[in-house]
Amino acid sequence: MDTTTRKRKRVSKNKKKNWRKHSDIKDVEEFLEDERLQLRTGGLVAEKADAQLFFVDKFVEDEADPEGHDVPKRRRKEPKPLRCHGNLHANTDVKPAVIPRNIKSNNIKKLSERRRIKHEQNILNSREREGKVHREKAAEVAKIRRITRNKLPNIGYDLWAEDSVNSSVKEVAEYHEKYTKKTKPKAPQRLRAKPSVVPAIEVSHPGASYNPAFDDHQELLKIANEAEIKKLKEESKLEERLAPMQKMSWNEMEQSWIQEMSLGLDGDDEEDGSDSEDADDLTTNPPVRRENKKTEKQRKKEKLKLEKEKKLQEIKMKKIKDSQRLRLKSIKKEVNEIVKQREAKASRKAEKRKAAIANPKKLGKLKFEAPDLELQLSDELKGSLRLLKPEGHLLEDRFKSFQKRNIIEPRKRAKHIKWTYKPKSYEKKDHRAIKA
Amino acid sequence: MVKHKKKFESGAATAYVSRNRALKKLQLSLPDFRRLCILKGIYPHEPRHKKKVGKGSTAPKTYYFYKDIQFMAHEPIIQKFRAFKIFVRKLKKALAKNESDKAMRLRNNKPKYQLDHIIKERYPTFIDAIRDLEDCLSMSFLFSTFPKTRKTHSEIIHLCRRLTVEFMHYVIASKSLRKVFISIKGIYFQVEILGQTITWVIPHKYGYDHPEDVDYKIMATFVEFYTTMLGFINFKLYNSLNLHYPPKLSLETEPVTSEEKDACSEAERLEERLAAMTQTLKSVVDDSQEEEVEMDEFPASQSDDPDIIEQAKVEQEKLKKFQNLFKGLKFFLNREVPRETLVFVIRSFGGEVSWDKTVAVGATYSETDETITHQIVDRPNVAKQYLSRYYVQPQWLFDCVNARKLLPVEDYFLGAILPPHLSPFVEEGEDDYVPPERLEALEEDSGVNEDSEEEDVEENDNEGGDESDEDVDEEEEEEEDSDVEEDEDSEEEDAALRKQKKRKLHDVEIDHMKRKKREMKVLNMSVEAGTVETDDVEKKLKKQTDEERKLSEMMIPKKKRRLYNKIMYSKKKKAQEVNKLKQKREAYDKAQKAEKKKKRKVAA
Repeated sequence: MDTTTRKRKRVSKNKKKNWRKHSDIKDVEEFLEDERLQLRTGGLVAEKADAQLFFVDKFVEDEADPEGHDVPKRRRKEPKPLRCHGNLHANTDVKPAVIPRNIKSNNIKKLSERRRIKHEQNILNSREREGKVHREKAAEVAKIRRITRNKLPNIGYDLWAEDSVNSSVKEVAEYHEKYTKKTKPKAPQRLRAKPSVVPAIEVSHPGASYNPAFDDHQELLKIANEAEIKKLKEESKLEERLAPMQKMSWNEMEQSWIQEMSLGLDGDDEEDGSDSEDADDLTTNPPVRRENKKTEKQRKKEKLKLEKEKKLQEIKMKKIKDSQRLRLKSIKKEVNEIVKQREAKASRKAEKRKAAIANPKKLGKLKFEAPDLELQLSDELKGSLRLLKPEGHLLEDRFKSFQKRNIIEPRKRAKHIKWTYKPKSYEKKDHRAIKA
Repeated sequence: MVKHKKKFESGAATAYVSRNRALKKLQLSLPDFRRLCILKGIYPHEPRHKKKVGKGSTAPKTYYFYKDIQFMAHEPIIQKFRAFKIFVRKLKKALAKNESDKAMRLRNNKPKYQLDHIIKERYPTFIDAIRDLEDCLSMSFLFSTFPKTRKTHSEIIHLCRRLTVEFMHYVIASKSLRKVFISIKGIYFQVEILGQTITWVIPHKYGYDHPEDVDYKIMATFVEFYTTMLGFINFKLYNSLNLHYPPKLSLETEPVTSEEKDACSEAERLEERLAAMTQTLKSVVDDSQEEEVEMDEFPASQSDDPDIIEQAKVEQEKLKKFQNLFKGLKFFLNREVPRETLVFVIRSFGGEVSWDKTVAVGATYSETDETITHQIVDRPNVAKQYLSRYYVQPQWLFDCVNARKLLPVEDYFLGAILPPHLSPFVEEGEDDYVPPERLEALEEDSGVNEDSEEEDVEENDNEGGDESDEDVDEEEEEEEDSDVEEDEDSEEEDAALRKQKKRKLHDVEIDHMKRKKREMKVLNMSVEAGTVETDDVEKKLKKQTDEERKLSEMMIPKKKRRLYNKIMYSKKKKAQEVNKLKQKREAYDKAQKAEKKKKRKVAA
């Protein structure tokens, strides 16, 4: 081998990468290649029975040479198989022909004179003309396909068609899906339930017709008015709560200032002094003094009294308990009363819940805000389709409808935060000085 | 030892999951999660006990059912979302490196997803899909009117337009339009498809301004889903009518001028002609066979009663008549009317329609055609008028549809002040107030007073003199005056009334006494002319029913009496309100009349 002649390259093969790179696996490859060849040409030799590989030679080839000692005569030269028959063999050595495809066939220089003129003047024969039309058509189709490839849904079949597959095949398919874990998950039961009882399209009030009847229009105005009043009321309520402190006139302010400043100037000095002393810990209780401290005797007396009272109370309670046995009927009544009250409360709650069934739920931070009612005042109504000025936007209407039906949660658009820091400007003093 | 039960390990706390946790579980960004939720039809839910669900915290959060999220995790589209994320990253990189080839290759292999399986999953049967068509139609119609801007992508608009046109063609072919209502917000349509009534709304065609507080991305996701759904529905609907899908026009050839050829491509022209809706669609089978469809005889199991069958037949006949309301009529639209809406309405009821050739593609005949019966006009006057046709305002069409018959054209003539356009979606209850216009229509519809109607017409004809009318007015005014006085001293009057009543009673008593005395005086037997005892059956019946009602009222148990009283009270209030409205209306009418009279006087 070459390795013997050449100086051996010393490489440490303790890394996987190096091991792979430098270990010589040529013999293994050769072996495998041979094995593959064998497989291609009628199975592995090693696995074949002897009878398949060998045969007992029963015929003597040459009588003149029974012992086989003689050197055979020179054989006639057999013709070699033709090279062109090479590809008829089981394992061909002929390489596949590779025909280059991007050769320009229209080399103008090679064209004949007549053809060149034709080409320059763009004169086409019928076949070429047809070809051109086809190409253009194909280009158009391709263009449409390119435009629509990602956009248009593929609709060309009946989505709800009954499966024509018979039951046994279906069963098998199901079984297969189950054991290859390809069954689709079962949809939750409530998935098909609508999240709200509110209809998708709420038709506008008849008073919102472009040419409404008088009564309908009045009714609509009334509804809108009521809604507006309610809104105003709420707003005013909020404003009252958030109203700033009342403003004082200059006189009032002065007076209050004088009052504040003159506090304690013309009063009892003692009180004033005491106040100033313990201003930190204000207590309402009067200070403890020696004379109003309880004596031991008093304390004991009080304790006794308390114990006595407690005892009396216990006795009383026991008496009540004993008498309750006789009071069973009224107790029952009381219990019933309580139960009744509870039931009433529960039913009230249920009723409330029932009444609120059409109300939008609170699905996030924000509450649903109903859009303003679309209406036109009497002088805005034109009564003609041509002069009609539409109110509101349907996109907004749809969006609000989705929110109302609990399909999407109400959200607020993130505000664009303005940069609040302003560069400070300074005035140079010397600059002013110069100017002066 | 008893195992200690920990808090928040079962019940509501585990049934719900907050949105943030759901995002983490699905490994999706918020916009992707929103999109997926919309596509899959999974909505947030408000838990009843927020404290339990929030594990002690009551902070406002968006909650989903945990099972829903688990279900969503199996959705194959999620993989596509992730692939799209990678695609965007790669594309950005390619663009930043100025590798246009790579960018183009990436764009050509952009990952896309299909929603077929989701539609099948959400609507297992066709009828389920039909039931949920309202949102789908409204959104598609809305988006089809949008302009092509950065926010509103042209592809989706184009698709919406195509699908809505197809749907309108179906409605025309199946004649399933039932109601139309023009509000200031938009135009409402109602159709009946496979026994389901579906309402949708389309915007008026005016300038578009994008409302600010609407999240366009979310709406576009809805539309993405709905367009796929509408496509499948259209396919199935077209198949049910044996029509080609995608639709083909029955008349293929139309002379194309060179200008038109330059203006748009063949495909676009076809689309425009489809959108014109003046031609019928091509059927898969021959038209001639399936024109006459006989109604099925009802099987015996459903109803044995011949009356019911008869009734159903009458209904069917009525419906058929309604469906061919405009059959045989030929309309011409002036350029100032909303063309598409009108064409849709006219064609849905079997009418023929055209417009000026310069207005839009698809005009079938010109204004000079003598066979035109109605010209729809919405301007004060028209210079050149044909005698052979009516010039009516567009509202006539809508009112005809809502009234389910051809209304007299006189009220809708050129420049006339139109009668009010009433909403067909209002269904009055028993005790509700019904405006007089509606009442008239209802009465005419039921055919109660067909005779009186004729009389009314005659009366109207006689009104030329106006003398009698004025007399009536004066009388009414007098009455009104007295009414006012009554109002002023109503308290006094009340007292007087009471007195009167007493007086009456007294009188009756006296009468009685006198009669008795007379009888006493005339002791002799005599024969007087007998009076026929009128047996007022109705009165008796009423008395009886009243009595019965009183008795049954008495029998109401205490438990339910409150409810009964409540109901009666609300009824009473309603009646009062209705009365009030009626009075108001009367006053208004009177005022109108007086004004008219004044004007007439001034004119004279």
